[in-house]
Amino acid sequence: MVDTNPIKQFEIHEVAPLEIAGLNLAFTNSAFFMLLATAAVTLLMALATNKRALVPGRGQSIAEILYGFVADMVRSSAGNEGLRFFPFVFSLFIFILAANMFGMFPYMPLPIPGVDFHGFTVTSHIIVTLTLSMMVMTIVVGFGIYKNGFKFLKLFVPAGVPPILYIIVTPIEVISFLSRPISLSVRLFANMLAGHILLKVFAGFIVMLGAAGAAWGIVGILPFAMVIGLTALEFLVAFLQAYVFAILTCIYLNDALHPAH
Amino acid sequence: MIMMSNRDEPDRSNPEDRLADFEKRLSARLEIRNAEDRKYDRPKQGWAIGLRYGTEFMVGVLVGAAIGFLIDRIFNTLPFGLLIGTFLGFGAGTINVVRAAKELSERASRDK
Repeated sequence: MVDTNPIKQFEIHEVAPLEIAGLNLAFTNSAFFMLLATAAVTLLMALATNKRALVPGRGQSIAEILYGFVADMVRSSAGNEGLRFFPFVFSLFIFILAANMFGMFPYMPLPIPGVDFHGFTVTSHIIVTLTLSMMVMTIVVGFGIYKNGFKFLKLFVPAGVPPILYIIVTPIEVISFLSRPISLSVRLFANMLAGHILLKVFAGFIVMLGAAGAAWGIVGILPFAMVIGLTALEFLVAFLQAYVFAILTCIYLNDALHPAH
Repeated sequence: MIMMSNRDEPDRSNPEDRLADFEKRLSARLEIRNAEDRKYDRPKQGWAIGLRYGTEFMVGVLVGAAIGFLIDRIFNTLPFGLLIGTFLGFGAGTINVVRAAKELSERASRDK
């Protein structure tokens, strides 16, 4: 019987075992796909910009559009001051986008003994997205305190509130602030996880109907049409979630720059 | 002798005038293009916005409850911290949603 388990795609396999001081630090397929995304982006960017033509070619145009897209995003939500974070936001955006897009490959050649082909979406694991969002929050808090000192805490004490209400408002603001990294990571993770499960569930129907034999195979056209539609939707989600992650990063960075708002 | 140009219409031989003229024509075209693009953008993002509000609210409540529960574990006051934390979490979730809505509407009005 064919394996149609839709959760199997999220399994972690070890590519190269490595153990340091009792910790399992193996190089996994997750790490492999992260490396793939990073390498692909670095290579594409280097290739696209190495000519530095005044009139850009096709590759350079794409790189310049990406640059302009992210720069506009940073400028519109964090102002010109926010542009100092441009390299960070750009790396974050492009990494998530590349990881999401590599996740759209149903099968990818993998250097794992026994598992030669495998599809994997890095951002469908909450540990990855949470790490990314904690990175953002560390920068927000770190830079906010470095730049504004104690004034950064004004974020939790909004102006124009009757003093007695601070008993309620401050804890609410603190909770709201603490919920940011979680909502940031959960949104990306949940979108990728749900989308890819849905995709594989419908793809599984095709295989099951095909295996049922005889006329059932023809009914398999229905889930197949669904899979095509869902794949297109997933490409949209892959881009949209990278965009949402980056734009929220900009908005949070704006808080670090101007905590009084 | 070089051709004399009429002052009223943009001087095609002067690079700066030509650039300004081009800029004007380009921005007029872009305006039409963007207006058309926006028509297609709206419905696509609707569900993404809905999902965003959903997670913002849910996470506010969860974090509030978690902090309340943590305080309970430390001070051994089990139901009260959790209760107060959840209440405050609802407040935080609502604030999250209001902020998200405000920011999205600002973005929408700026795009117009």
